[in-house]
Amino acid sequence: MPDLLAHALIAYSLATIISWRYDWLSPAYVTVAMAGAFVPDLTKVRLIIASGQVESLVGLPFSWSALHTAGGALVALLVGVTFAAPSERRRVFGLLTLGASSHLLADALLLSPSGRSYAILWPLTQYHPPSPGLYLSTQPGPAVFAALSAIVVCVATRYRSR
Amino acid sequence: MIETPGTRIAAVIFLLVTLFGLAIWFGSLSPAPAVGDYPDQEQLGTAYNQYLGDRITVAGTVLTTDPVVIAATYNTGDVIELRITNLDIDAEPGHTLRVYGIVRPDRHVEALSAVAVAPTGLWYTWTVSFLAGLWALARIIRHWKVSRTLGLERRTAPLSFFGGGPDNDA
Repeated sequence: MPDLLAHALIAYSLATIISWRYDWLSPAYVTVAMAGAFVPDLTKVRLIIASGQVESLVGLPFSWSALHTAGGALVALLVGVTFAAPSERRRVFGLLTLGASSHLLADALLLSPSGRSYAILWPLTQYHPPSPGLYLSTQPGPAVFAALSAIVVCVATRYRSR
Repeated sequence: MIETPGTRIAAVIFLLVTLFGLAIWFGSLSPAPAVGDYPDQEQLGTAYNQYLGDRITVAGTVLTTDPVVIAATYNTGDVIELRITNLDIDAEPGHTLRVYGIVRPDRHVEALSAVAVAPTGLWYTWTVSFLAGLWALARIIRHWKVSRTLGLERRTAPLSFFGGGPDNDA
């Protein structure tokens, strides 16, 4: 979606709801899903080193936006998987993927003047799916909605565990 | 297989090289209007006349409002000034204007649709995103620790920041 707070809240809510079904999914694993929600926005490294600066450095075309696609996010989250113990890797991979996918999907709904989102499935395809244009990344609405949902999920989880 | 510091470092280097390769590949993609990937200021800045009559997307800072002129940055630092007509929204100086439109001669884009974002909106986004980062970081430190093999392992009891007993707080 919009800002990282909304993304983190969505990942928190989704992982917590899934924890109702799987007992092993403790708050530590919910944190992993939240970390996954940050992965596509690693593309913001561009604010420190712009794509163009890398281009002139290596003499090849270069775009950080690759990180904000399914393929780029997958490779990036595998870095996280490497740090997990082998017995934990399937769970960590699954939860990082949950967080990163929810981020990419929510961003595909962002308002865009052309009505098309971005190459979410790259490198499978360069296709930019039509975007419903639900919100701008600079509006607080989505974060407020995500926060309210997260509170409901949090309260429901405490109620269930009693 | 990958559980010693050495193998972990090797795996991370391999993945980073792969990512670098993907970023080069992605950067070398040409616009593909047929699938919704329109040319933008990077293309307009370097070969304007090649795109006359084409549909493009540009983003830039509003310089003046009568006529509306935006400054769009390309190639990290080069600026192309574009006159935007046919806008159905109000543009104010300093706002970021994102335009989908048709390229006309003489640095002129006829808008089909546009979105304006106030600088305060950007501040909002950066502030709450930073807070989200702190929240996630605190949770990671609380629930995970660095192991002797340079990995991350779950803490048996969550770390408490405020001296209270462990609980399962959000």
